[in-house]
Amino acid sequence: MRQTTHKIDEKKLIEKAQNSKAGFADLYHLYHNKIFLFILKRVEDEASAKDITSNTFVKAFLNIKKFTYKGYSISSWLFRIAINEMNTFFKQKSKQRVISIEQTGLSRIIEDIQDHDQSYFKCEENSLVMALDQLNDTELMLIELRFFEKLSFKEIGDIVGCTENNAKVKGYRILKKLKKILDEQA
Amino acid sequence: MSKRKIIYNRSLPNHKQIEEQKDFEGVLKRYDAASQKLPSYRNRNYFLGLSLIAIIAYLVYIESAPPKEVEQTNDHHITDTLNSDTSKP
Repeated sequence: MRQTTHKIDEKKLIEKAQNSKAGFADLYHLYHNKIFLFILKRVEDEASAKDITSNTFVKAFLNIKKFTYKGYSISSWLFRIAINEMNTFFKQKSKQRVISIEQTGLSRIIEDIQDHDQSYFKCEENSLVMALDQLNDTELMLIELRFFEKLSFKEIGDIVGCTENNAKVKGYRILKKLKKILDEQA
Repeated sequence: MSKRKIIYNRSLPNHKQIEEQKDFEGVLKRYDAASQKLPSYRNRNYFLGLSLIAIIAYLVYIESAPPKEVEQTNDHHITDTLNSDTSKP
């Protein structure tokens, strides 16, 4: 029931944002902090994060009329724009991409690898971080979204542009790849 | 240089500090600048179209203009008549 109310509210919010600057201001104030933190975890300094966040919202404002509500949260759409803006930033400024590692996120990855593998698995966190660094950008983003941002597969699918099941399969394959890298390291 | 930098247990700004980073006015200014329509002559396609029309018009003009040789023969004709006139005292 609460989820349905939330959906209706979000639909209204999007309609308002599509029709007026004041409406878009509401959307900005609602999602700014979430998007800013998401970007800050992937760049080195706050100034760059602020700049990319601004670019994200400018792009969103320019294209909000094209956005059609298909049942998923507008935050997924904003995350997708933010990822594109970050990629442009890294290419143009040739800056290093940051991986912000949290202890809890690492533990969750290890637990998931153990669950999928069904066998005794032990690895040091340092080795896992080295293995994460060997993933390509898309794979790393999916792992970050799942284990560090704690998003559901449905949300990840919306951001990455695939179905929930596809996101699950991709997640499973990446964990398998991580396990293989860790085995090779051992 | 490695493509990525790994930071462990990074200290992130608190809610108040993130709120201070909000700048909706800045977003609006950038939006206005980005959404402003370019004058037609600064539009690349418009400029190319206009150039093409100008080139075609020039070619049509060149083709339809009277050939220079005809003018030259006329000149000869005039000088000939002048010469013939002067020969008559």
